[in-house]
Amino acid sequence: MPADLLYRIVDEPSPSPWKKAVVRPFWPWLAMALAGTWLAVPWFIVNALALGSPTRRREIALAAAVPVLMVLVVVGAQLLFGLSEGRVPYVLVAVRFAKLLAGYVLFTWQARAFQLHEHFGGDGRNGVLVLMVGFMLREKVLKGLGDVSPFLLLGGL
Amino acid sequence: MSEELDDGSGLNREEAVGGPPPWERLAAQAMGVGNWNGAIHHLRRALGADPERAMAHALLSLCLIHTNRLFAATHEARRALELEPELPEGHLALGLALRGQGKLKEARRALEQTLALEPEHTGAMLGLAALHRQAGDRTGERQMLERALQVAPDDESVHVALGTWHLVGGELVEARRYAESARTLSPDVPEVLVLLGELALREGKVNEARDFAIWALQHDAMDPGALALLASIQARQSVLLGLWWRYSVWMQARGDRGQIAVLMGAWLVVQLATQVLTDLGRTGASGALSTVWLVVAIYSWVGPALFQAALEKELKRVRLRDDF
Repeated sequence: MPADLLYRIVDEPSPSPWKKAVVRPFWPWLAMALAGTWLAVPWFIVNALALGSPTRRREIALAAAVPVLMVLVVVGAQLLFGLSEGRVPYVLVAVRFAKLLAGYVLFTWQARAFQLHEHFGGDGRNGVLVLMVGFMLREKVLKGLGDVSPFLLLGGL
Repeated sequence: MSEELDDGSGLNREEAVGGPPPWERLAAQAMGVGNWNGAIHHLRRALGADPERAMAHALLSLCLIHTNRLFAATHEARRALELEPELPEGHLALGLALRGQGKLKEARRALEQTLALEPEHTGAMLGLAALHRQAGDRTGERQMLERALQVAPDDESVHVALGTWHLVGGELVEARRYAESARTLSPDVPEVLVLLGELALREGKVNEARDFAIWALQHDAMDPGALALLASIQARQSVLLGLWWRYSVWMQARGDRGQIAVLMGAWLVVQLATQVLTDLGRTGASGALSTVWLVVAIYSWVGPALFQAALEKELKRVRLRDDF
């Protein structure tokens, strides 16, 4: 029976022209922790499109919201407590928390789609090279962003 | 000899007359031997030919539950009920899918609806018993299992569930009695073999437990109970792997949201504690805490790989039976 006559189950990945760009979601998640959102956010978005996961719209929306969320944490802390020197490390913990929480949720969503992608014979590229390059470029990118806005500097954490 | 159908199902016209359509019948056969992915494939074909068939959606939902695709299972069960609101299998599938997602109230409603439509539905009773167990209500679970036993005294699943109930309560003699009665009814069913293995493991007979797990896997290579039993046996043989296994089981029971809450909560506590210790000038303690966190993080990364390698070594002993 041709594949187009098979019933499509709702959680199955849609065909995507970017299939070759699929990576195990562990890599963008690790990039979130080690290289920064400047790399992880676009990576999660590309992976969502490449996987064709049924939750891709939700994934893209959350990934795009991560820098906004981090800035909101900083602004909220400034408004509520003021950003004195002693409090800055705690605000940074809160910013990292927001970033990693969103990253973990994204990882969980994409991991389900990736499992099915593998089940249907797909594979994932090794993301270690991108991660290493991202990790090495981190400082340069942050310095570049720092000239634009301190908030974006935080966003690049 | 009857002519074979030209739809690729392998069934002949005589077999295809009356009863469920051919693909659905093949799916039921695959489900009978625990070949859930095979059954899903047949049901996709059945629904490709007739997307309005409620029973095929319900069966697909049950197969998806067994492969842990709970979101899709819920979707298929709801679709079955849209097409046929009084289909007991649709309500059963919905109840089991929702139970898997921790939506216990909705699951209870769906399973009770199954019983309202089919008062002697053993599957719904077992599902309700499992709901009682999840809610920590051992008395309610026992009552539901006794009710199932009255309705279906020859159903090995009920005997297994009662045996497991006694095993969890530490009543090994009673557990053994139900395990043996289940074995008399169906000696080769994986869930019976898994209960016998769990009993052997509880009694310290590790090799016997391993043999039961492998025997069960020979009948159903994907049986989660048999894999869990094999993993428990591995976990017993190494303290570190045992710790990881217990942690992993504990986390799995929490679902995705619970896992995120636990891990991110732990991360936050460690980060704040590290910062507070630094502010108090206790840099040694702060550094030690960071190191412990790093070691735990690395082990949680390496642990699953070590565990999988140990499990794969055991699984090499498994030889699937011919009709799997």
